[in-house]
Amino acid sequence: MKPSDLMLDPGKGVGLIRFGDSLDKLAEDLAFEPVSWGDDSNRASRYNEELDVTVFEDDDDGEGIESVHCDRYLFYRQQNLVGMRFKDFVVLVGEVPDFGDIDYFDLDDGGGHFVFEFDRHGLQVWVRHQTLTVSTVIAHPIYDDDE
Amino acid sequence: METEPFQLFDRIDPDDRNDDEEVSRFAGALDKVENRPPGATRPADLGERTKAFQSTRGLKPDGLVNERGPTFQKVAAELHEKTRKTTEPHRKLLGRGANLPLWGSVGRGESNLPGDLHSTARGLALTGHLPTRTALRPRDEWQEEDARDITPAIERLQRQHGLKVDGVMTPFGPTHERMDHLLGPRLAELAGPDMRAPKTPEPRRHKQPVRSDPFVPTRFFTPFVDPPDREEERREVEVAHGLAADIRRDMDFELQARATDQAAPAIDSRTEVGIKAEQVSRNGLPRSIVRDLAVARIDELAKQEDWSDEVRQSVRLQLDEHLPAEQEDDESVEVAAAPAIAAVPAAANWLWALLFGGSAVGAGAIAADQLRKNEVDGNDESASPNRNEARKHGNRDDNEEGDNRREKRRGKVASDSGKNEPHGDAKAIEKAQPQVDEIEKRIQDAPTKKEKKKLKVKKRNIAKTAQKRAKGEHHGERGKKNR
Repeated sequence: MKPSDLMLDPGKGVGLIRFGDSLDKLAEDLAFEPVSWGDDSNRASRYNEELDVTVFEDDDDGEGIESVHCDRYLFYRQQNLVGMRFKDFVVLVGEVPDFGDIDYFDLDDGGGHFVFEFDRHGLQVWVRHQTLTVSTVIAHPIYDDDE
Repeated sequence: METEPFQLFDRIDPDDRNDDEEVSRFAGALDKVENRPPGATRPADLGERTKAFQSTRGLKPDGLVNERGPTFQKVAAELHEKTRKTTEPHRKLLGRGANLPLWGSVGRGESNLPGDLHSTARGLALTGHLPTRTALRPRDEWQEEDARDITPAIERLQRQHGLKVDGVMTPFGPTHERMDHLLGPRLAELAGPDMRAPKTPEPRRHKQPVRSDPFVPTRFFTPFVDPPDREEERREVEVAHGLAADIRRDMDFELQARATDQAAPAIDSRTEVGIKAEQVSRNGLPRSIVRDLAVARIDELAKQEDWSDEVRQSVRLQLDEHLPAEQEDDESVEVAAAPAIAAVPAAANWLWALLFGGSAVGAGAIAADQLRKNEVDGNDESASPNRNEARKHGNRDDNEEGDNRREKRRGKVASDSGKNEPHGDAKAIEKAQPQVDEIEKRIQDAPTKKEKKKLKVKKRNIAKTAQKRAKGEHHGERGKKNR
């Protein structure tokens, strides 16, 4: 799997990683290894070190792959979203985030992160110093509005 | 004024006879490319200088320059980059790879989208690696399996230009970048600099090169050139215009994306600040905050960009038009009520720091002021993490804090964590725990499944980042790799 294969398909997946697929299939087909990113995700995550991508499975409902965390590459409209200026990103996706969803976290890695949800594109972006950096772009399925 | 494109009408071979005019034209171009004064390269030195140029560019260092060969193309491309006066509109809009629109990889076993095959074939025809006839195949006739017609041409290009020969062209990969670079002068020559309005084809002006020392001594002058192939020329222009159409489609797509319903942030802040403020206000922020932020931002921009008083005044008027001061906090109090109030500081931060491109510290100060006002008015609610954050930003001296932050980024000021510390911060997980706990609580209280899932993703990301830090990741590294 190459960096350019990590192309965002809103609501459906990232390249060959499709939401709803099983993690075991992913580990088999692509070079993803089990990883422990915290006590609750031991069983339900796979990591590709080269691409710096972590894939999480829905551990509650068993609905397969639920989110793809891209820390280095995620291509959309021929551009890598990770490392992109937030303003350019908003222009690129043409979507204004929901105000109610803005969060702020200090991950103690050099600055606070603002977190924005772009529901139409199924994206959660983590923004530091106005740039989509470290652990920033997370693709997830486009959720239904009400449950 | 349009400059004459750099052309060669005959090969230049250091071991053979050459046309003097061609030699001097090529030597002049080489001098320009390598930043030498005009006339620095004498014909006698040309062979050596050409070889040096070739070896530094990954080309075969034989000193031979063919009429449309790789050395000529590389010189022409570099000259084009140096001499074009303004950025072409399509490059300004599409950025890297603008001369060859690619959405996926092309080549053996790659995605080979029909549109990509079409554009690649046209590009390769313009660089002389594929027959123009093949490239003129209509767009809808390209199928995935037709990649086999293109792959050998990609390999040829890669071989000639010292790239890895794998027959694959990936968007923004080395082969795509090289093609984009090489296509610049040829496209500008045949289709003009503006792909949205390709220029009318003009017949190429042919020149008859005469090698200084005729092959066969004779009393009669013998022109050493084939008659111009007008048909081939016509086809080439057609190919260039076809590629221009592909680029145009990409530009249209890009423009459409930019003009979507909710209108993304504007390119020119001067004309759009009022409109943006109105949009933000419509999205539920109290008008007073939006107005304060917009006014402050206008002042900042005016200072930064050195606006005249008239410009400044007109922008203020625009803001007044979109967001009149008299209408402060009427219906917006309603939208900001209850849960929305908690989001105000974060949203204000967002507005300032990101949409308007300013500093989060300033936003924090304003947000904190707003909070203080709320407290005075008796509107204070239990402090949320966001509000605490706003306070934290707001209660310190902005300048000192700004300097301190910059210094921290450079690694000159010791901080409780960061680059100065040994990597592998064992406390990272511990530090992240309160935030994880906070999210856990919010997950439990979340009214919808959608909300729960979004929060879960956030929790995972915090845990992941903390774990990575604990394992000793260098947090400055990835950013560098991406740029």
